Formats: sequence, structure tokens, C-alpha cells
Amino acid sequence: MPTHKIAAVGEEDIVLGFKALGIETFPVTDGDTTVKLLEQLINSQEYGIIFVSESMAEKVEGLMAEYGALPLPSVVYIPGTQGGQGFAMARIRRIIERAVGADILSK
Amino acid sequence: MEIRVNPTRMELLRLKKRLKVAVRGHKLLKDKFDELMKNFMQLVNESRRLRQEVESALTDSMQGFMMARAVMSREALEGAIAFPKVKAEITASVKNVMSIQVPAFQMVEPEYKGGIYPYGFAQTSGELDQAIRKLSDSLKSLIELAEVEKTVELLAAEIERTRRRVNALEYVMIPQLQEKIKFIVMKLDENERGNLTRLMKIKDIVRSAENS
Repeated sequence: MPTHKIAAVGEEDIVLGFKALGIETFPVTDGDTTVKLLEQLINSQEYGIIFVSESMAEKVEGLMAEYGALPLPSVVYIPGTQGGQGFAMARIRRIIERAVGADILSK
Repeated sequence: MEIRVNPTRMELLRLKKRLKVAVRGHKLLKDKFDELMKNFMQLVNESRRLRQEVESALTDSMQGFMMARAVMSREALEGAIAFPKVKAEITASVKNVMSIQVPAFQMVEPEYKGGIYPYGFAQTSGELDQAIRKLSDSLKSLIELAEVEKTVELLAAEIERTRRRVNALEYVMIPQLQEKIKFIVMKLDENERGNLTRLMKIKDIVRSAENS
């Protein structure tokens, strides 16, 4: 079984903690560089999981749709310094809605 | 809709065979869809539970880091964790769920020799220790979440595809085939009746010709 690395992308404050755990961190400040960086990380195929700060979620949403069909890597939103803003849940909800044709989580 | 088929017995047989295949395919796909949905619902609930758990843990930990940042100088904080002791790695294998390839992550258990903290305790604050401990504790859930969310995403795509196929078969293919079959049967029956009346008519004519 091949081993993969874990990456964390986001504001410096957020990814700092991950660094202590031996996760490779990539501090970013704005959305455009995040998109470029994320694309590189995905294409490198070295990473199994990529954590992305939720504050960048809006920008990378397009990228997520593009690479969503690949089994690896798994891109996961993590809450930013302001706590969870519900982007991650909204994303899952959207995926479910597309699959089932109805919003089943709101029940 | 106009039906364009040759009203022949050959065509009728062919269509009937196709209808049979379509119905069987529909049943199979429907079963697959139901099974997918069952798995999917479980995973969705699981992912929701994990997501909530992880988010609260992470928010906690982030606040800890904020505190640590507040009481320590930037250089000291960055210096303290610049060289992590452990290396987080995962092995990713591919699992097969209903013929969909989904990832299965397994955390490579790092050797915690002398704790996870990559620094001495003299120059760092207690808040940092706590924040790192919390983060480290939630890492396992985070990895699990990564796996589950990806699986949900991949399953969702498969469900969508299957749903489309089921619907296409149920509402387009099968009704069309039935319509065509009906058309041919009617046409053949009509020909049969036409033939019968023609025969009767001819018989009448022949008979009246004989009598006269």
C-alpha cells in the first residue's frame, strides 16, 4: 500500500497547528494562489488528504467539482479561525441534493 | 409521437426480446439504486456526525493556538513547531463499495517517542501544549472524515448516474418499446382481419358465380 502525505492549506494561523503534527502546511493569503496551489497539490498525487481552510472554500469550489470524481485525494474543509461557517455541510448537502434530487438532510 | 417500425413478425420478435432485456435491466438497476441509497444514507449520517465532532474539536484547538500566539512571541511560537517530531502519513488503499472505487485511509501510527511536542517546555506556554494535544486527538477523526466525505461524494455521483439510467429505462425506453409492440400487434391483427374479410368476400363472389 502506498503511503501518502497529508497537506493543509489555509491562513497561517490555521495551518500552524497542523505543522506540529507533521502535516505539510502551505500558508496562503488569497484565493487565487490557493486555487493554483491546490491544483498543484492534487496533480502531484503525493497527497492522500488535503485540508483546506473554509475561508477559501468559495474560491476552490470549482476545482473541487473538477476533481471530485477522482478517488484521491480527499479534499476536506476545516473550519477557520472564526469557527465553522457551514460551507462543508453545505457542500455535502449540495452533493446529496444532486444525487437524490431532494434535500434529505433538512428533515 | 410517430412510430417508425416495420409491422412485421420479425420486428415484433426483436422488439419483444429487447423489452425483456430492458425490463430485466431496469429491475437490476433499481435494485442497485436501492442498495446504493441504503449505503449512502448511512454514510451521510456518519459524515454529519463526524463533521460536527471535528468542527467543534478544531475550533477549540484553533482558539488554543490563538491564545498561545497571544502569550508567546511570534518567533518563539514558530520556532517551537518549525521542526515537527512526528510525520503524519497515511496509507491509502482502494476499497470497493458496490463496484465504486473509494479510498480507505489508514493512519500510519507515528512513534511518539517522548511525546508529540517537538519542543522543550521551557519557552512555550501551556496553551500551546493543550492546543496541539487537542489537534492531535482529533486527527484520527479528521482522517476518518476525509474518507467518509470522499466516499459520499463518489457514491453520490454513482447514484446520480444510476438514477438517470433507471429513469431513462422506466419512463422512456420501456414505454416506447411497449408502444411499438402494441403498434405492430394492432397492425398485424388489422392485416389479419383484412385478409379474412377479403377471403370471405372472394368466397361470396365465387359462390354467386357458381350459382348463376
